[in-house]
Amino acid sequence: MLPGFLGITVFVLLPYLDILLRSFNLNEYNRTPDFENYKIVIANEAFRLAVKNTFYFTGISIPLMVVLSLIIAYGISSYLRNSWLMAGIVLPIMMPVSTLVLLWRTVFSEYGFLNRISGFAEGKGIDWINSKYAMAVLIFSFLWRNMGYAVILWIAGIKSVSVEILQAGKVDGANGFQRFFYIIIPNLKSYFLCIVMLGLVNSLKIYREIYLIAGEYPDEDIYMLQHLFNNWFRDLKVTYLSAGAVIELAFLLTAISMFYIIFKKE
Amino acid sequence: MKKKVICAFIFILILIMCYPVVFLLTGSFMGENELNEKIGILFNIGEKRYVTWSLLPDHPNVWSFIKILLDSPEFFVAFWNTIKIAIIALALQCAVNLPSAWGLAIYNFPGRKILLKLYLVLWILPFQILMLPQYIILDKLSLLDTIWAVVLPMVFSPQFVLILYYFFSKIPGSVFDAARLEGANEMSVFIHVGIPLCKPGFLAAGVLSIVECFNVIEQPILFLKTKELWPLSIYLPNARLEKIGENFVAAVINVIPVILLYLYGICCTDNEYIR
Repeated sequence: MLPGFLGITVFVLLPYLDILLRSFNLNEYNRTPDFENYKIVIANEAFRLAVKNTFYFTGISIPLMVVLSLIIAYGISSYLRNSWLMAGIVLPIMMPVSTLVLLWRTVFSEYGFLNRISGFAEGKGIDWINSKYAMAVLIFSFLWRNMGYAVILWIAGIKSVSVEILQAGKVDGANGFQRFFYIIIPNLKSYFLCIVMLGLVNSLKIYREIYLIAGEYPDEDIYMLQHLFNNWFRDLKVTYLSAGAVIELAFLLTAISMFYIIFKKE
Repeated sequence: MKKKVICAFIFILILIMCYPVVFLLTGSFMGENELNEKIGILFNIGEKRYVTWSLLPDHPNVWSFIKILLDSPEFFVAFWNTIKIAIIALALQCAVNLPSAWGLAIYNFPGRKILLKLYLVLWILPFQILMLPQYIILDKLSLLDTIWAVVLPMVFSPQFVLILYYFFSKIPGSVFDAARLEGANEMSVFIHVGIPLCKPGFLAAGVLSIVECFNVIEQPILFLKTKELWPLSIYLPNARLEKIGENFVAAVINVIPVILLYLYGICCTDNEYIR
């Protein structure tokens, strides 16, 4: 137990403290904290772009994932029960991202399937990955990958709703939709929390997909925080990097705890 | 009627989910000429027209497999690196995180709740925030540009602890009390009762950790400069394999261990947690 905690301290906790200090320009030579770095970072255009894109991406993909997976889970749990089908649905999480590059290129590139299906004349198709639709491709990729476990969790949740309550609802004359909205959904709160958290964790890891599909300099629309941080890292702009990281950290912590409080209260 | 529509819909959905694996397998058994003809345009080979594809190869052969397996040493180096990272990380994770999860789940000590919340928060935070501090620490320990730079941060993963914690805390406490009454000391309760009972949790955490090893991108890009140390996950996209077929085979070899492991996990847990 102790070594585990020690390791976490060394590799996770201490680093956070370290960047906190750095972001305020605190070091051996400067003992008074200032907010210079924060001002520069917030005014930075690339930072704003990255924040905007990250928000945009998370804001669309997570609600979409939650709703779609809930619908699918409801369909599966009421009509189909086969564990091998379930295994198939989670399969995408297991696929290493690097192996997807080939398929994604076959589908989304200028001469790819998508253009062929959508009926563009030869040579006039859109290069989806490097166009304004890049975000849509990314969201699709995210959904494809993360839908599986969301469905599984929702199914587990739907099964945990006791049969007696559902039958009581039936006796009282609630139809399928009413049972779904008024009995099942209110009982799924903790699962909802779990799915959103997992979604958040994975949506912040989307850099992998972007890196593999579009390289280090992707289209402006999918320029994420990780790209910016990587650039700063390469240019050794350590103080900016730490200020940016602290802003992101503060934001995430507030968001998570607010979310948590709202859902624990009810 | 309604049932049939929904079943069909779900079936199609699952096909979409699984198709990439089939796609890679098909591609890896196609001959080079066939691939050039079908998707050569993606690699700037052949005339400019839309890609085509078929469900099965027209002339199946294993030429690409032979080429990759017998004739490309760098691929093996990268593959071996990935396996090394995966095995070392998993072994250390077991050694370090199993006891921590056990301690968190079973014993009640002051600060336990705070510690748990801490793990939860740390798990959610993305790598972007961590990369600079980790770099500095690895630099101080002069571990940069060694395999440990990727392994060590991975070992102390909150995810592993949280999954195991969940499974440990589901075991009813009376089981352990019974063992203690029989005269087992704390250590042997942990080894002979705790670990066997949370086998499914261990499998889940282990599989996820290995998948993570096959997926690491950010860390090796930043922490490993020597190309000989690169794992498959960044070797593949950067490799300039001259033949399309080799790309497919490399991808297939990358996927297969993970999928086998996954299927093994499902069979072992007897489908209990999926059903």
